Amino acid sequence: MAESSTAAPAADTTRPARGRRPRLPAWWPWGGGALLVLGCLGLQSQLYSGQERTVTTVFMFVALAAAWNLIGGYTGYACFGQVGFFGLGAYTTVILMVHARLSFWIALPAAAVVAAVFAAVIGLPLLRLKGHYFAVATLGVAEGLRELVTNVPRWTGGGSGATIPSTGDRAVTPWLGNDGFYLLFLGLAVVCAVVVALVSRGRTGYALRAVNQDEDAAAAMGVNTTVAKTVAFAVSAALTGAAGAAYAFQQVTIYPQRLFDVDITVLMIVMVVLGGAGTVLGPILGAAGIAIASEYLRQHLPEAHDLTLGALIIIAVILLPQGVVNFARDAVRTRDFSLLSNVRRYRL
Amino acid sequence: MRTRKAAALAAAVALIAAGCGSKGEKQSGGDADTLTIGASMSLTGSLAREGGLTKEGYELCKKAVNAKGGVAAGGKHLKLDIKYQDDTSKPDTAAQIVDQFNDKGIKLILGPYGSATTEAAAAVIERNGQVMADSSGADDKIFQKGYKRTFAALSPAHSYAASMVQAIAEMATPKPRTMAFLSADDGFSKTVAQSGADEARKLGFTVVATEYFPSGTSDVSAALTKIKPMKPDVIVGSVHVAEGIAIIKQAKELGVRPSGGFAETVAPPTPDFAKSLGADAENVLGSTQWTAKTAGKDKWIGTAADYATQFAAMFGGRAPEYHGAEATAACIALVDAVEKAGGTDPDKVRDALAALDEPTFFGPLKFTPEGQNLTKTMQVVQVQKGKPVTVWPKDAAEAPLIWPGNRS
Repeated sequence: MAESSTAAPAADTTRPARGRRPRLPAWWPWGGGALLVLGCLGLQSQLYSGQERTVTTVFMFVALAAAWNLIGGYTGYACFGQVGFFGLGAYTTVILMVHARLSFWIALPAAAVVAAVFAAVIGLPLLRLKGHYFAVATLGVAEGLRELVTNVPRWTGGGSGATIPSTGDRAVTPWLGNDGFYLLFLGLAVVCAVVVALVSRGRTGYALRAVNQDEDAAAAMGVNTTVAKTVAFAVSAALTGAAGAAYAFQQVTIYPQRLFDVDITVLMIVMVVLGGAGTVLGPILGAAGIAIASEYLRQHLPEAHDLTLGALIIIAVILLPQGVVNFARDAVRTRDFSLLSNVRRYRL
Repeated sequence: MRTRKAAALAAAVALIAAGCGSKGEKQSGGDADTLTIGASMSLTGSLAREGGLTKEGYELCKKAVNAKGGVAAGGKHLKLDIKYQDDTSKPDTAAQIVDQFNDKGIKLILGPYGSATTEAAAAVIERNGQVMADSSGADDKIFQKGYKRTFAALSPAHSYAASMVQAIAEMATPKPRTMAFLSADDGFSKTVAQSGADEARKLGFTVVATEYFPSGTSDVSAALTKIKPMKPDVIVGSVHVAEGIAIIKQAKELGVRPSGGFAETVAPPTPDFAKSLGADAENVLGSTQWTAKTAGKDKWIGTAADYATQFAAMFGGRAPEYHGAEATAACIALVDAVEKAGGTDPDKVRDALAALDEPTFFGPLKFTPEGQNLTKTMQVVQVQKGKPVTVWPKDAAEAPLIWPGNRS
């Protein structure tokens, strides 16, 4: 399931010691994915209603991390303003459901489209920037969007928040309940993973990896880098916007401070990096791992959970700088499972 | 081929297991001799300080109730236990925590700190059939949604600035004519400013401006510059402590001198205000939910002065602030309701809360059908000789109002 992508410096020179890589049948990523989804559906019947909501948050982060992976992992453009698309999707949903009184099922795809179009438009100038400049510029976009939302209270409720009517006659779409949102977010996570898998296997995926490794060389080889980057940015934004739409409806009342919270972007990035940037499976594992760890620590260490999680992340990044999935692949190929030699290979 | 068959089999098994929908919730919460209440609390994040103060209030309530033998309900004396979960100052986490309490069968909830988290929690409370005693969510918006299961012990947002306007209208001579409102742009502060301005117009003042600045800012000069040419007699700020201090400092720097003075909701009652501003803090008006002079008495705590003594004994000699007092009051409301309901059945406790009419150290606890406490009044304080003293309402006043409040 996990295709290679990121620049793995020394890994390529270390050839497998002996034998061929064990071959798995071609259908296994899809079969494995389907089993995983069925497992999640089975899990639902074993959860209490509030636990369902907790798992729903995990699914949301799987979707968000998978979406960020397209632009940040495959293409190598570290977007620090991804939460902007999340908020944009959420506020598009609020405006469509509250002011235009449209159904959530129309607002959800509309939010994805609005986020995609917005990303394509800002992508044209911003994707010309590289490295830190791109990161800072996108960070600015998200902050700007928050200010915009805060300053048009007529449409967004401003700092006091906006509420989507979800019960009684005023509700255009009845609230889905914890059961409904579990399925919705699971569906979103699946869609994001499938989109990433398809992009990864297709021509665009190779174009994005080429851009990541050397943009000039990619252009010289005939890759239309502008189109490739913009498509990746827009698709990533669309998926993030859809997640924002679902989140807004789940929360019912939303506030700009939380919807454009830079914490959410940072979480997406950490999840992708720890799981394995530029792989299909990596962000899924990273998101699930961190979301579960974060929730467990929050419940069991009321006052020290942030500190503990931060320390764990630092240790994980030092030991596995290329992410779990890339490490596992290297390790299987080279038969070297030592974390210490991994640190040496990537850092020292 | 065999692997494929195995996969198909596993898929079929998983499909069968996958009935849509969850197990619902557990029935009982804890053992029979304990009254377990859940609280989602901002222990970390941007509201950690206020969250900590609120938790102190809940802890004091727990100690006082258990010291008096616990909660008498259904012929038994139940030991009060409060379970805390950190909501990291985020509304979505607060909502999630309330859902998790419901899973464990904990139906009685004490509110989180702040209006945004309380509003998120209130929606879940309603859906799950839980009951919440709200200790600090004062925004009127929470109570305009038709919720029937959230009860706020404290006075609502609309009385924060309005009480100061009333005090000025009643006692200030010469009576000022114009007022300007400066407000942080969060929901709570805006509600405070707008209802303050409405009250001012109702009482015959001219409101020359209502200006907003970003919540949490330390620079309010743009808003001050805008209202300077309008020469308002009184500047009313709907602020948090840091913004309140910034207004006074920067007004002095910019030469904005209202002929009457300044009034700044929650900033002047805090010790930090007079400490940071020194002489500039003198005569600034503020409003507070509670002071140690508040009238009223209950069986758990006693009077407001008793509360101050117990608080100091429990927390290293510190004087209580209103955050702790309102938390203790919310907890008392819930405990009283459990006693009156004769048990922890959430519907009966809800009805008991709706019918509650009790005097307490915090003032009277009595709720409107929407769940607000309008019986209790806010108190207006004025910084006099470096200390906030109560000047309104008259029956609780420690000193007369000094007017004009502006000494320059």
